[in-house]
Amino acid sequence: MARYAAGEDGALVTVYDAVAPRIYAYVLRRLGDVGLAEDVLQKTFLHMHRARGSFVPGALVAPWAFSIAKRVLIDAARARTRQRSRFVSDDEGDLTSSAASGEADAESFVAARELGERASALLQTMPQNQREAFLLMRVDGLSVVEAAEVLGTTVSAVKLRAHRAYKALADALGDFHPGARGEEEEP
Amino acid sequence: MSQPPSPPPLSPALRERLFRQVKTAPAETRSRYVRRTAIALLLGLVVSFALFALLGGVRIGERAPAYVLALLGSVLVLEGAFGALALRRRTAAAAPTRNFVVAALSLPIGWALVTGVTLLLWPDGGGSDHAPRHDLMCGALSVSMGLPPLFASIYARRASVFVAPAWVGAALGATWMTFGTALMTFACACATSMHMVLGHVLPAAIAGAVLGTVLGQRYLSFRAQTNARPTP
Repeated sequence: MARYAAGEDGALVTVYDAVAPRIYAYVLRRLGDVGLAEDVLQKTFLHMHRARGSFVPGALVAPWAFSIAKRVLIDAARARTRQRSRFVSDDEGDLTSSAASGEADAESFVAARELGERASALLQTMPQNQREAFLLMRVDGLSVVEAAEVLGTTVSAVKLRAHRAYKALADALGDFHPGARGEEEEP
Repeated sequence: MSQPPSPPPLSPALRERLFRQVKTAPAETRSRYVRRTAIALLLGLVVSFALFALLGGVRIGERAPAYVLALLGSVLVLEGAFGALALRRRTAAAAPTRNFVVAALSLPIGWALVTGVTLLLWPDGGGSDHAPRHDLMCGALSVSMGLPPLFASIYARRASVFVAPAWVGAALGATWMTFGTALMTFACACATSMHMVLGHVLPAAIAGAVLGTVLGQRYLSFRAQTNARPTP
């Protein structure tokens, strides 16, 4: 990125290859629309291109790119007011698919889906800062340092927020397994 | 923690389209950006120091030279410790908001403490002619000397702050208004406690907080919809 910021246009290829797949996955996960996600990715890179002069040499590229993508994404989501409900279902889909990976039989799949639904519902009730820290690290794969830069806070604060989110999820879902599910439903 | 789901493949057509678009979109290089922002800040400081020179530069008057030196040292320490938090950029994304909150609060409070302590240590500071007109004039000139570098800093960072732009603006406001009021304090030989509070502490604190917050919220916030960056 430093070479690109210095004016070496060819270095954009390296930046693109390193960052674009992560940004694309991040955006697609939230929008659930390939065309719109590509549009957001394109706008993100155009913003990065225009702002390359302000890139601080030696700084991390991913948090900067994610921060820009997040703003472009917000604008895209505002343009599509129904996006909010999609955001919830996309997170749900991720968690469901993660939880369901490797499960072949229908019963396990249903249980995993229900687990995902409960996790998603719980995420929505969490404070926004805890939810964001959790999603950036757990779902989008950012490191603690990168997540801290995206959220404009300290590394220890991100660790604390994510830990609280994990703990809330673990407390709420700890007793959830196919065997216990039936018992829960009994009066 | 398990690995996040692997990203879906990107379309080669998107890559091609993007690179083609980037080629036609003008963008400033790092060196041009640094030069432009440095010139803006330098101009801001030149205007402040020119105003300071027009007012006659440092005036000791009846004040003890040690008092003036103590003020100078304290301002340098304050700006070095807290102003640097607001001005220094170590990340391209967002620095912890806490840094800006600390800078925005510490500078005016620190300046008020410095003023109080120095007045306690040198109670016969001099300049007994205290009049409201004098307070207003010093307040206005303090703000006037802080404004040019504040505008330059806002210009340098415009549309590039992702998190808490109002706090970033408030921190920049506190930094440059403390600088402006410090300059004014060296140029004003009156050192009565009432004048120092009404003419040199309060106007800078209020102007720094209000102007910094308003300008920060208005101009620093990153906007994705507009062409936030200037073309060279």
